[in-house]
Amino acid sequence: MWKKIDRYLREQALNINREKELEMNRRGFIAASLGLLGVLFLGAFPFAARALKPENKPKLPAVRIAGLDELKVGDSRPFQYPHDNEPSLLIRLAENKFRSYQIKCTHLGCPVYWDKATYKMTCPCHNGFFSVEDGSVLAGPPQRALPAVELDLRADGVYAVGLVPVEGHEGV
Amino acid sequence: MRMVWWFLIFFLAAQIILVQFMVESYLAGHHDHLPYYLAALGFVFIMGVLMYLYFREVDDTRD
Repeated sequence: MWKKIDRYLREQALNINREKELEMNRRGFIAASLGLLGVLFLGAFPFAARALKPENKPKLPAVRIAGLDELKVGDSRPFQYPHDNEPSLLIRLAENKFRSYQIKCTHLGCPVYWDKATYKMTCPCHNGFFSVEDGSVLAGPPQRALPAVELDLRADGVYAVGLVPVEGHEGV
Repeated sequence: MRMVWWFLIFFLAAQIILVQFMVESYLAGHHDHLPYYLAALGFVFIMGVLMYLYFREVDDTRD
């Protein structure tokens, strides 16, 4: 009886096969993790395929904003584009130089106006200032540029034909 | 094989972080970044396989 127990304990404590057994387990674990690496790699393919899919953005309509002679140099005219809840502003900076932006401030949505005296787009709520040249932020709390409206100068007036994509607006 | 265990743990961690970044990019709409993440995942996977084969060779030689 005592001999039997002693042999059992010896087997447990001095198991010469234990090292081999551990090694086998380690090898199995490594093979399994390699499999997991492979699964994660293969699982990424559908995501990457999404990058190849062309973006089918709906084409925005061309809307006439004003006649070429209706707006004096330095003046602005409000309009809605592309929807009624998207207030925008057309600004004439020179004879043939127009700029147009959606005027919801990118900070908290107050309407931005064109300040002719300071030559800046100004948000009156929290003193945000935007460049009239490209809509970029000059000063104040806004972090992102104003979305620009693409313009087309035609014989019978200025048309809004689309929106210029702005870096950082994709997910908004 | 003991050494490769640590390498594999490192590769697994890198792979999981890459997958997290990839999902974030996807949800943020930055679809043009996704192929680069795929390439990185593939690179880590291939490195893992090579590492496994190399250490198995070393192990068998030692035995």
